[in-house]
Amino acid sequence: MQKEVLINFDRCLGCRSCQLACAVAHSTAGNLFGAILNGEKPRTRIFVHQVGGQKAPLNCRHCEDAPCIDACIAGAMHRQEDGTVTNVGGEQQCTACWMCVMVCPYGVIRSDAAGTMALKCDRECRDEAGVPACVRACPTGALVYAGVDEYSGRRRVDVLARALQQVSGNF
Amino acid sequence: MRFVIAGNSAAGVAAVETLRRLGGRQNHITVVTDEPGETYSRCMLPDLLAGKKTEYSIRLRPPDFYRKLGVELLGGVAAVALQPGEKKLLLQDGRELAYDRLLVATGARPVLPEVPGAEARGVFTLRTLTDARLIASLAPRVSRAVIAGGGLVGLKTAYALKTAGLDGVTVVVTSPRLLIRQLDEEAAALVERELRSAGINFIYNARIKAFVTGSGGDLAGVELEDGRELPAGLAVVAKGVRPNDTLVGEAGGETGKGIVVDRYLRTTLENVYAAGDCIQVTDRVTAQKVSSALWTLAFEQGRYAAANMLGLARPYPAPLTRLNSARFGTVDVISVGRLEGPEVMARYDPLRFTYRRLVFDGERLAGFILAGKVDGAGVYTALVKSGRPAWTYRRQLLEGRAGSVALSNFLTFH
Amino acid sequence: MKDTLSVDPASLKMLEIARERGIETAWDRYLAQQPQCGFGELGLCCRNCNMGPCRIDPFGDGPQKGVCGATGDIIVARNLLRMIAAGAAAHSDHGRDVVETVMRVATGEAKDYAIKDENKLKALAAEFNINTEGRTVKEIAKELAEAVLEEFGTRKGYIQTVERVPAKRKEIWERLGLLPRGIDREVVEAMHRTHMGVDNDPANLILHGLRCSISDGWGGSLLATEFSDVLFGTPQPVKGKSNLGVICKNAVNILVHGHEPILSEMLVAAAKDPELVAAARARGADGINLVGMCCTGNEILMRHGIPAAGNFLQQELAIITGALEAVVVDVQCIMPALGQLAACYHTKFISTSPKAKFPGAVHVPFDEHHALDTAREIIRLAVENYPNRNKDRVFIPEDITEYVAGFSVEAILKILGGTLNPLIDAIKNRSIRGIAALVGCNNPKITQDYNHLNMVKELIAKDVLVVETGCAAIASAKAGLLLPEAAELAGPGLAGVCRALGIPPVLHMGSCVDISRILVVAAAIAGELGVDIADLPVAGAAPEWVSEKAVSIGAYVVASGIFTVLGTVPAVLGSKVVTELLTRQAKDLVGGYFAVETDPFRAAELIINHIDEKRAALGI
Repeated sequence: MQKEVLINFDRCLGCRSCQLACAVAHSTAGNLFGAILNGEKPRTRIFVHQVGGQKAPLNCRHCEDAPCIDACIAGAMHRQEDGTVTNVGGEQQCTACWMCVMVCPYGVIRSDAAGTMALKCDRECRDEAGVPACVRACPTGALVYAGVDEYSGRRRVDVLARALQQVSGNF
Repeated sequence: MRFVIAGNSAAGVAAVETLRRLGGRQNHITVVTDEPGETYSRCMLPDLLAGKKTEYSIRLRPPDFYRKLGVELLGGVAAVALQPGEKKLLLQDGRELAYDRLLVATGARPVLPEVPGAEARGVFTLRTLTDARLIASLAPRVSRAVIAGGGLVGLKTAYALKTAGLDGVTVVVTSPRLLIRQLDEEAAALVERELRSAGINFIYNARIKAFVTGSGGDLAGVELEDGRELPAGLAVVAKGVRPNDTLVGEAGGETGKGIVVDRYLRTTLENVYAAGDCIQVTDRVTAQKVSSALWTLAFEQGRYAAANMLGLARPYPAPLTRLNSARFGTVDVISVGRLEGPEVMARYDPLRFTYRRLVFDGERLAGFILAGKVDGAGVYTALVKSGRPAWTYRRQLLEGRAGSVALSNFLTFH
Repeated sequence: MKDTLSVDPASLKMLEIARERGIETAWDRYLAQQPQCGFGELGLCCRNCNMGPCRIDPFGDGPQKGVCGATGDIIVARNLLRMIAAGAAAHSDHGRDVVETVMRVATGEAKDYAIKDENKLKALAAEFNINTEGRTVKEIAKELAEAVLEEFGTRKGYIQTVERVPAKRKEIWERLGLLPRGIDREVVEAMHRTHMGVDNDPANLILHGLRCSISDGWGGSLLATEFSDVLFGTPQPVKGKSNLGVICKNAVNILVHGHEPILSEMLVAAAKDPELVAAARARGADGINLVGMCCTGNEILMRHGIPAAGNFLQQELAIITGALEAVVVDVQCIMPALGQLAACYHTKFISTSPKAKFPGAVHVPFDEHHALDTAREIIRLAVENYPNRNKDRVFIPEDITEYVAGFSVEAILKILGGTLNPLIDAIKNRSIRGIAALVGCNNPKITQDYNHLNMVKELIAKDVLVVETGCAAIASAKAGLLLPEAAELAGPGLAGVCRALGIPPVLHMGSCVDISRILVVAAAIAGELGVDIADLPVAGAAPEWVSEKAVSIGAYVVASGIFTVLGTVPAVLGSKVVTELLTRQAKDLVGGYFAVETDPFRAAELIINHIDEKRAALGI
């Protein structure tokens, strides 16, 4: 069963450790101190936002009918066998046309620092056990890497309902 | 089942992939196209002109794409007639292709102005790889070019020719400003400033009266209606496109702003489907019937058409037909949905060098423009597309805090 | 060296027991803390005001300024200064407690203590311009203690004891405004400067950090050392035993843990009380066995040869032996985990300082007025607890190693025949290539003792004399490096010197406040040679450092002109400005500077290169 990065909304403290870990995992050095000492500027592909009192990370959902794949004029955005949607490692190169940025409903595709290609969660950060860097970095278990079925559907609904209450209370 | 697909660009490729993905390998698939060679990304032809890309790097799919999928490709041969009764497609070279289901994905062709000299050597449109090759081979031998049209293709072409090293590049625009169909005045001004700083000239409120030829029939210049003459060795006409709907129309199928299709992307001819720039669609926001004419839409229509051809009955939802993304130098521009509406709010964000314009129709975000930095644009697009109440997010949207809006949406609708 | 938690065989055995019994230790909690926050690791988070907390994106992607506008450079510098201030405060507050005890001895309030080193008292009196002629020891002690307590908030310009540095060093400090104006003041000012909206110049902040640290190294710590010597005697070489094997199977075992000698000295006395010993025997024990841990351990092992049960990461392991009747603690480096752990056994966890209370501890308030009585009460608690010991749960590793400790400056001078010249000659003729001071803690980020021991072995093999304090020294004790026989691991030059003098190649100079002893020797050698400390072929290292005290130590060692290698990465890499300041510009400013090297072999190489560079500059 394909695994996804699932979000346990009531656990996020907004520490941004996932963002840092994501950036580090996409650095050449591959570790925090090394990347800093090299002067690298890797960018994160997961984003912690706040809505009212609710903080939560948001990253690519690797949509089943991914609009970014349809939108890509270069043919770079594609789906890998494990379900990962990515614009790297495929047959074609990203050309930074931002069509994917325009259609991603989660706003989790962005440009690189130089504006030369689109960056998104590519799951190129997984360790030997296959767990993504953001999940490993999360100190509270707000991020979980699991098959959707493994992750109790009921729990998700509960969590979301609570989150929703908070959100609606704040607008 | 025999599937024939006329057209080898976005809709055709998406259809082929979907037919194989959902339908397995037992069906016979033939793709016929009047263009020679492999499928490529049409939107990237300006990059080819600019020298930023090669023909190799604008390929849409790898060379062995069709072979791997077990699809027969007939290249360089146009489909000239359709016999829906016999379920046959007639080709230019006399061949007849029998089909069980046909997908017409013949795209669109550029509009050529009806002015004298339009047929001169050195006057081009930029729609196909062949066009791009011709322009690219002439460009190094001329120093000045005129672009007719201030739309996206015109400006991208102008920017590409400038990048390729042409001295003088002038864009002749009929309207009082550029990108009149995509942007408002402020956003257009941002783009214009960027293009001017790249060395491109603009002439507004002007029409071309004639293309002037010199000795030997080569283009020498462009004459405007106000009498001005612009010397130029190269001209590119970018005045929009028309759907290639004659194949269906001449066979008795209904056409309007393109081939008329139902929600399953079926034409009025039995067993004939259509997708891409050649069809007419109903805009999701304005409910008007318009030509489809967008790469993204062609791709998704290709997927839907293929599913329907396999009998899966996937209704195609009314699309957003105004969905534009482009970049000019450091200015990225995205414009989606309506440009005007009952409630418009706009703001330039000097910290992020970004202009944002929101168009609301009641609770609903009907359209938006982002110019400068466009990260998070998809969140706005999703709001326009879904029609969900968005008025409550107006401040975040105007300030570019798309992420928190996305999170709200995510929390609310998942 | 990540595949094993410790190179200490006793630790490894105890960790095995802990695993079998399902007991968690610092190593487990360290793992549970993984991954640790990257912003914190880089020093880029600020909680100094309630507009925050703020953190800076180190990659320039997210926010680059806190709400107040503080950049990463400012935040890193402020955080570092606060660490230095905390470390300086800890040492200096310890120092003040010792001086206050001397004061109470002088006034007769602390009747259980006495002035043990009158010579040192008089020498200090002379330093503080106090007349000793025809006065009693108590009179001198009272006036001296008053003068020294004044040093904590002095208004006379700068503290007296910085006069001990060579003239060149003092000039540098004067020029840079680093002369500390009172020990408390520098800490208070550090806290003021790091308050929101005060000092926002990274260099200015760091310079104050150096001044604050000098008030520790040449002030608070130095006074702690000197007054401990006055009160309890100046250490002389003494033999003892180390590692967890010193816990006795059949005795009432009392572990003394923490930092100050005031309490532990009394416990040493009380443990010999015949009545209490008899009480222990009456309960079936062979006797009372006092053992030390961390720097309290160092204080009493230096002066009495009390066995050292281990260093920082062994505090929990000692309890896990199941054979401790009591763990008695005062202040600093005491894990709050001990309470819960002690509750798994019969062990009584006894806190004594009003400044340091712990969950799960029995608090027996200790004050100098009734010192011996309190010490007796504590020992009695332990003795009475002996029958509660569950013998089936006792596991004591048999590892015991002998050591020789107690190399105070005075002891070294005595060995050298009263002058430093033999040492200086040995340095000049390259028998001793240089001197390296290895100090600091254990850190679960590093295989326990691995960095310490490998650095020591590398250095002595290359003829570098190693001097140690604190948990670093205990690491060497447990590895047998504090024995004269360890000379065989030294290079030929150093081995020759050790054999001639009958000393180990690694000298135990005391607890972590006793780094002042090292500074005093360095200053004396520099003075003898007519150069600055920065010119000497000496270097410092904190290979497994943990505490804020270590940050203060590092800062004052560098401020004193000594190149210092850190074995764990300090939380400053988030600022290029601060990192450059500490690792490069400091060299031009104060002569000393930092390097970070987590590999002990490469760290030793850095030190040797530095020593050779300094030798070349001196033309020796």
